[in-house]
Amino acid sequence: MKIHLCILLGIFCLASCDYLNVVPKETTTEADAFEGADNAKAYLYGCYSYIPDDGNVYSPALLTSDEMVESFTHEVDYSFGEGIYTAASPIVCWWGSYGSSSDNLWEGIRKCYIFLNNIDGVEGITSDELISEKAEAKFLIAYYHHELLQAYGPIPIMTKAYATGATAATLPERSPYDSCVNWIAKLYDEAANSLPSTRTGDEYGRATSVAAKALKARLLLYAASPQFNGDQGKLYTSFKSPTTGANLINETYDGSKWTRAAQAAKAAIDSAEANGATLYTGTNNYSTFPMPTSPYIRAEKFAFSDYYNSTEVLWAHTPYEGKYGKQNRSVPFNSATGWNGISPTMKLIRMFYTNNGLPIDQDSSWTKYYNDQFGYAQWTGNDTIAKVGANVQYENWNREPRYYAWIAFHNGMYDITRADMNGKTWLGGKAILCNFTYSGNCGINGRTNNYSPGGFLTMKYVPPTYSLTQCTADGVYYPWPTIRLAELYLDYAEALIEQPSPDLATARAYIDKVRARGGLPSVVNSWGGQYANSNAWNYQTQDGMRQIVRRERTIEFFGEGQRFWDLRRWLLADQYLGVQPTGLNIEATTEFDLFKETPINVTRKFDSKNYLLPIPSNEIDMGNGRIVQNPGY
Amino acid sequence: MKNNFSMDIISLVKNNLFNLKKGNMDFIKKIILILLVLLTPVIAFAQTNDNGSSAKVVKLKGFIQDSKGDPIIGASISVNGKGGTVTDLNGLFQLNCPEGSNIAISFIGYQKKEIKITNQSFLKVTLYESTEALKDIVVVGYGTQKKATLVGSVQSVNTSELRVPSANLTTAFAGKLAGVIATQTSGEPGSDGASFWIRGQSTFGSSTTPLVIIDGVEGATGDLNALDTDVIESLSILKDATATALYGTRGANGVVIVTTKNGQDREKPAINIRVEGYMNQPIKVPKLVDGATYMELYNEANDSRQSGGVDYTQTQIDNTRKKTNMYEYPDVNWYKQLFNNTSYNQDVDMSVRGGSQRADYFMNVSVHNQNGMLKNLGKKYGYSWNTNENVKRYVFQNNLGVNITPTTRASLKLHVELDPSDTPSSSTSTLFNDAMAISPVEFPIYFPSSSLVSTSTWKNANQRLWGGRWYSTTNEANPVAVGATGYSKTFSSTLLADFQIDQDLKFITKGLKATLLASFKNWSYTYTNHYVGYNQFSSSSYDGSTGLLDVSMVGSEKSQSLSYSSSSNGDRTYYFEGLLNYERTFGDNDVSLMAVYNQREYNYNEPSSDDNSLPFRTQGVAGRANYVYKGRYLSEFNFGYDGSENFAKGHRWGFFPSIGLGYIVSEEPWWKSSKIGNVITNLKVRGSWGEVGNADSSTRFMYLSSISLNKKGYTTGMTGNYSFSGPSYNRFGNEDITWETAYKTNLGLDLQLFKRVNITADVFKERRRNIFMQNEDIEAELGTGGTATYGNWGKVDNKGLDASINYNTNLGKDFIIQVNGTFTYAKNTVKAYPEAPYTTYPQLSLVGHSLNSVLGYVADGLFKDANDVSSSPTQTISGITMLPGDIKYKNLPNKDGTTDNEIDSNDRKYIGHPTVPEIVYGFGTNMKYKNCDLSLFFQGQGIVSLFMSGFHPFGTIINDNYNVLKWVASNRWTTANQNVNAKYPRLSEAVNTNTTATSTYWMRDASFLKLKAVEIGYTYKKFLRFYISGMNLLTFSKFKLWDPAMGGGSGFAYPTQRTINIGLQMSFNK
Repeated sequence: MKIHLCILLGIFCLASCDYLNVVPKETTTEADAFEGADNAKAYLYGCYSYIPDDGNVYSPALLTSDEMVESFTHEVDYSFGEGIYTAASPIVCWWGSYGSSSDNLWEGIRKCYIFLNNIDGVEGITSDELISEKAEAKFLIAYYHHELLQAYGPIPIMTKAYATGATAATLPERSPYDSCVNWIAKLYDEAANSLPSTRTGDEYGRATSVAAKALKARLLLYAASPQFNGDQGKLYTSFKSPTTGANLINETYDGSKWTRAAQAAKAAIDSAEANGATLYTGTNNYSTFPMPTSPYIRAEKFAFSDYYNSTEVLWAHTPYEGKYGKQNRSVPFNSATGWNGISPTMKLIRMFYTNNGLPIDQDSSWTKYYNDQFGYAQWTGNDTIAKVGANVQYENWNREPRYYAWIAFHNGMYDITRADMNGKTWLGGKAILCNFTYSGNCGINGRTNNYSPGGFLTMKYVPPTYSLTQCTADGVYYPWPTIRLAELYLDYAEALIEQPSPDLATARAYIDKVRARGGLPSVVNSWGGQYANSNAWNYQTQDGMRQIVRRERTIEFFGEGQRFWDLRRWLLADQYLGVQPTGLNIEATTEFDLFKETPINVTRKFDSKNYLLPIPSNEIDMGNGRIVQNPGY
Repeated sequence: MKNNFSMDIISLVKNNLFNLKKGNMDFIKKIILILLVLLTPVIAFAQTNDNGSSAKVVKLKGFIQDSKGDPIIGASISVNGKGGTVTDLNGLFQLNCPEGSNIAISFIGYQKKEIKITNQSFLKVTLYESTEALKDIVVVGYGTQKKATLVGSVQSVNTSELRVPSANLTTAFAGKLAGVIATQTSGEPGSDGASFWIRGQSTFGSSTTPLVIIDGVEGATGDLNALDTDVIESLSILKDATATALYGTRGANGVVIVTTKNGQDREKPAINIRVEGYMNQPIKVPKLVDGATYMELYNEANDSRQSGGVDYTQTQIDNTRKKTNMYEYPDVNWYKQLFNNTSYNQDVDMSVRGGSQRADYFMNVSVHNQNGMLKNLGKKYGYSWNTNENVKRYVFQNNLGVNITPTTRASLKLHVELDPSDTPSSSTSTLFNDAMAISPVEFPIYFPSSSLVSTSTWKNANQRLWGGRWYSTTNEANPVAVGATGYSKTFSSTLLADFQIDQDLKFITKGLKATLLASFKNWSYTYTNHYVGYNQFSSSSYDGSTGLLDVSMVGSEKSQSLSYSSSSNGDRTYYFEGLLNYERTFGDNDVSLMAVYNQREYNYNEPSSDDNSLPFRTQGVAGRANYVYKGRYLSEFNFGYDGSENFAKGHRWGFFPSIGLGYIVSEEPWWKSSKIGNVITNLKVRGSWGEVGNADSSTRFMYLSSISLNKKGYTTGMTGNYSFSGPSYNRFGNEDITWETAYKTNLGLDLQLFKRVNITADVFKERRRNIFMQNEDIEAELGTGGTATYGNWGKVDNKGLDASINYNTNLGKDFIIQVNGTFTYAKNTVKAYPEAPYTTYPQLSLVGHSLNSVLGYVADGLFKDANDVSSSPTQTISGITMLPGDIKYKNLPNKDGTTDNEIDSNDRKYIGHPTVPEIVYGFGTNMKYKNCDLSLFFQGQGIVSLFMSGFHPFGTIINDNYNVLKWVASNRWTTANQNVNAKYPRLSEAVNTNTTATSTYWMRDASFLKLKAVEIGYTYKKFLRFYISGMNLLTFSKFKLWDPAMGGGSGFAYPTQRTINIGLQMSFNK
């Protein structure tokens, strides 16, 4: 046939058969992506690129639980917080590419497998690199599954890169939650065996064995938690595999899951500490910054940004946060890049401890303030915290160091090197005096966004080294902590408290490490001390310790996206997340009017179905009965 | 099977066709033999026996020659109207006939001759070429055919009928050409051509447009639009498989063939001059409310949901209404500020046609000048440039033919086209949108420089103080300033050279001809844009006593120096074709054979991507065999065998055969002699079946994987300083991708009644298979993400009918009337589409619906009251709480028939008719009385929907601060007048996506009937004709807001135009 054709064409026009071969054979193919060690490394970095930027304001966990509200109504996470996501329109999605959310984790998983399939033949790669890079791909496969599991519950376990033409019938269905956990944990173990324990220099941010162990601890803690362990909410009774009929989330409570979680946490702690991890207490650094002399406040302020001296962060997300990141959105208003729009809620303001390490309703020395939280008095404390003589709401008096490190309130100081809108500077140009009345420098002033909805701002994301120079660019660079030692301590404590035979004493010891870094008395000295009133939790009971560890977590991880997930796994989200948040009266033109508890103009909705995110309805359709939707959607 | 068949043909051609140079006639004889054998039953059936006769029989011999003395082979000789004989290879014949009988000698393309036989024994007859017969020739793929014996579905049109007062040939298509669906949606100079499809659309692949062939070479729709009707000799539309299979590569969507005029052998050159001037007016533009009404409606919208906006005070409203001070209380109708209501165009066309035996020529020069309806804002506001749109077109055509030897003709056709155009810096679509999308009361057009008070910090009082305001993050646009502060110029040129040699190979065998054609086309395009910044001001106070405003600048200062940007583009095409044609008549047997080889290469001059930098190539052979017996039994076989570089080796070549059969019943002697033969003077039935291919796809090389290195990256390092980027996949290859194929069936009927009424009707069915599609049914878990994979997945069926009717009569000797009409119906149905299976909500699937169908909600009126809201399912479309007066949607059940209690995107379905009409028709009349002539033409479309969108009042985004359309204001739901049948629901200050969602609420019937063209002419002394004509004079439609031909949207797009035209035509030496 071909010969005939050529003769024919040849006679006609002397054209050769190559006339239709127009694509040069040198065109780039997949093989080129594994041409040499550098290309392979680039491929591996491509695998890393799917890590969801959990520290980004677009991530729903950061600003949509009951901790904070924002005024950036055009952002996806804002809509997500309104609770209007459905299977047809998931708003935020990691399960495929939908809407403006582009963290398609399945794509990342596929890339990792392709990497594993091709890396062995690559020339010029050393055997050490080969071992480490393969382990990193495995680590990422585990982590991506882990993130999906956290958001969607049971997931299909992808054990390889299926052919591009694979039909729905040949792909796996959703595996029961516990199987997913075991599979991921095993993969973390495998990765940990071949990964280096720490990374420094250019490699900082790549996977380590310590990170694998720490994430495994988090994975097992979630697996032991009420949402997935016996399902006290009975949300998942009819949530079953379409083929086997097995429950996708186990209906039977198993206390040993807590024991397993405690062991994993302890193993991770041991490994981390053996490799030099400690809680950050870098009190001597940055001595030119005049903010509070309290070493604890200073430590909490620099906990993230002083990454040169910190050994607390076990794994971090290292890319830049970008111009539209948390920092520029947090700082007081400036028409260039000060967007003044991230505010803690009254709920969170009240969550912080008093200076005696007690909840505000359990501290007898704070009764006066507690009973008149919206009263105020002229500030007589440290002038690096608030302006002496200015009216400061009682809520802000005598609070723990973490409060002063992270919360900016009316007539308080925002520790950044920048003048305010009127050109005024404080503390030698190293702070801004916050004013939350209508036309103040943090006020709403008629704007429809770029205002603080609750009448507070947060300084947690913004190190004092932030200046106007940063404000026009990407903010101060620091790696966002994905997991840090404090979390392992509290994970361990929680598991010890919950395990069938609780070990409250050890739990308290680990909680105390976190409290001590924040300048607070120990659990025993606080709840067993002179200021504990009759409301105080009993630190000698499992129930009391459960409250204490949960509150400690809420405060310590304020703004880090932990509470979004914690409330879900504790099965408490329906009590907390559908609630109308409150703040101060930001429309007020006087301080007198400002200090009034006012509902924030934002919608919050939470149904029991929202404990898990909806799988996009397209995917359910394409799964053709193989993928069951999460209950309630 | 298919391949074997093609093999046979190829080996046959290979083994035989190219030995012709040796004078070997074997091949042709063989072919004739094969065809005769194939058709034996037909011939046997068709033969009639001579009746016996009592008269004296004459034994007659003869020789038939043409005007040059060459023998005519195959001329037929009939005796008394009955079968006789044909001439042999030497032009000789011999027959016995009764004395006194009439013999008739005829041959295609020659005048028939009748001779009475007395006692001659030898006749020498010369037949002269018939110019009359040439009129019945139809241009088909790679050649011409006699209209009478055509079996394919081909519509040809008298080009003078296509002349309308428009810059574009395609705007005349709708209703004039049976089988063509055409719509003109814009009146903007330069983009006012029509979109057209032959027999509608049959694919969702990249290309639905027909193949355009101009003088044998593939062109673009733009090239077609640039042709003046005075240049066109013929225009044919090829519709069915018989006619299009030859164009395997792209014939699937139908073919338009245009040939330009050649020179003529004549004593004096024919000169034709035409001068036209015309005036355009927009057919209809929706009206906007005035400023005070806008304010009242804004307050209503704001209050209706407590949106948090600030109401206008009564003082503001009153002062605006009284127009007390245009700077303090502005009220600007931006539309009127931007646009004129009339625009003027001119056309001049001149041609000369002449020649001699040796050489002939056709020359044409035309100039076209078209202005837009934009006001000249640049000049008006003190800038040095014009901002109105102006499109000019200069076309030069020179067709030259030289008869180098008596058998060799060389011709060169040159076509040069220059298109300079001026437009404002911003696109006119932006200006139309801004005219509606900017509030009328927010700011005046500009402030007088005297309004500056001393406290102002603004130093440069020489500049215009444009009105404006700060909107959230930036300045809101000032439409007049946008229109005035820049200009752009576009220049495009087309060069086309077409060289052809025709060689008569009668020295090998009579009837054999060869043609070689080579052509080159280059199109280039340059765009330059010049603009300056403009500074906007707003006033905060007005001092009534001094008349001074306190005006201050909004936003940061913009540069007043001219900025510049440019872009350019272009493409070039090479084409080569070699063709052999053989046409002979042997007695009752008309045989024609054709074989052609062609190759084409297309390149972008400035490729924008790696893929596009590679040449686009196609290559193919095609052939046709045509056999007609006794002028009434018709058969035709065609094939195209084509290759495209777009597929993997082994999948590149596609074979596309077709067959057509026809029977001219009225040519039967028994029909002619019967009574019905006087009524039905022509009756032809024909049918065809075949395959046609398409290799055109928007994505090239779908068979190859595409990967880009260094795309998807990550950053590590203590200081975020260490980055690497891995590859990203752009496409996963599919080696099996191959041709998209159309299977076309056609049944046709040609009917003539009383020699006056001609009717042609065709019914067709097309099954389009293997349509290239990106797969949308890929599960996320597979991890291929948004990366495309393609395959031959789509299937579409298309069926319909097209018909034309034509009636000519004379009423008295000076009065001629002609009536004609066409009708086209084409309905397509998607049969397979690689979408999600939609197992839960099957109504979301496109399968079973038409292409261009719209997915939307089903509106169920407006919410009556709060009770209606609370008792209805929750509407989550907008995330806004529903109130009375909001649109209520129907809750659609899932596959089990159950409904959830929520209205979301799963509650949509395909609503209404497609947005491209399924019916297009036209009818009209031409009348001529003495020196006066009148023509009327109506055109319409049916089974089509349009969807209104983008006009919703107010809004809270920058440059989306919409004014209110009058029809919205006059018929809306309000709390005071809770009319649940209102045309517009409850107003909303912010965008209410529940209101703006696509739904049946905004769906309208877009069918219309238009008085499309009227022309009155007067001819003076046969060489001068004056005429006045109008286009789009009247529109009858249920939809009144704008010209329904423009389709959906807000009505704020460049409107289609009503045209009045005055022309003068002079013809010398006609």
